[in-house]
Amino acid sequence: MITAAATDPVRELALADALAWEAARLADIAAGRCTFSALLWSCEPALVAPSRLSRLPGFARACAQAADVGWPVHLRATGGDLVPQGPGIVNLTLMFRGPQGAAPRLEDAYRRLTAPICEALCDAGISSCYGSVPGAFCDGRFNVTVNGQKFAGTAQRWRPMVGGEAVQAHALMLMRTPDDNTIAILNRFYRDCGIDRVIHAKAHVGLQDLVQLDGEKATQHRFLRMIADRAHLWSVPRVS
Amino acid sequence: MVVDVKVPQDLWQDDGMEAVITNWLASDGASVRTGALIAEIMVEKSQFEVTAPADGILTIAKQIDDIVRKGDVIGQIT
Repeated sequence: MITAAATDPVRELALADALAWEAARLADIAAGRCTFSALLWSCEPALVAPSRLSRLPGFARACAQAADVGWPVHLRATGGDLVPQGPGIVNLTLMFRGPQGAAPRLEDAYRRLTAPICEALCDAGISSCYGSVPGAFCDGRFNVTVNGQKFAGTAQRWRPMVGGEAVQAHALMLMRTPDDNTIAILNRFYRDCGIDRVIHAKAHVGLQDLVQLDGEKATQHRFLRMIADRAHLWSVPRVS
Repeated sequence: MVVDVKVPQDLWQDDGMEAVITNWLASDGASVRTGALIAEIMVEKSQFEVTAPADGILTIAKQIDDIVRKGDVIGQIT
């Protein structure tokens, strides 16, 4: 059972369990068993790829190479591209039903997902906006950026349901700026897959490089509690 | 009767935005049931599930990695 603890907003999970939780909650929303769910979570070091990459001829070899150096590869259901996971990253997953009687749109879902993040950054005195960042991993128009660097990446999955759509919206937030080793792992994976793409460390920025460090853990905890409050994480029923 | 399998019209706002077919989960010529997940399309890092709009035999009109727009017919069910 995965539940939000009373005080710690972030659940430490095995990546496989987090992905299974997301799949189960999306099914719950689509079946009408609940209308909203949310989770802040972090996991062990790994790479997560959208399932379409698994069709590439070099994918199996790339997975084996990454796993050999401590970065096992998992597949996910949302769109986008390859991302790292690990202790320097916190994920926000929101699950909700698209509004009835109005056309739900992916742009609205991205705004709903990123609003708590942008508000928490604002409370910390950090101005953010949306935008693509060339050289960032899993780049997209709805990245949350600070000073032109990627702070959070976003992706979604939509499932038709009776009377609407079930939406899984996911944001990956950088608590620490990815180090050179992480970037090298991503670039190696692309090379092994035969993909002509290069990721640059300087395209990203982590929370620790954005705030005055009066204690890194305390700062991060305050920031994530703000997001949890704004994402209504505490009101989510405890579900298995 | 022929029923089109279409890219939904209203899932995103920008009419110029293109999507890509990332997966067919039913084969060309397969028998499908209403509501069954048969394909996935991706736009703006969002993966949309496409379900069968009717019972019948699926004919695939657009292939994996083909570019599609809102309202495009990607298959038919007869």
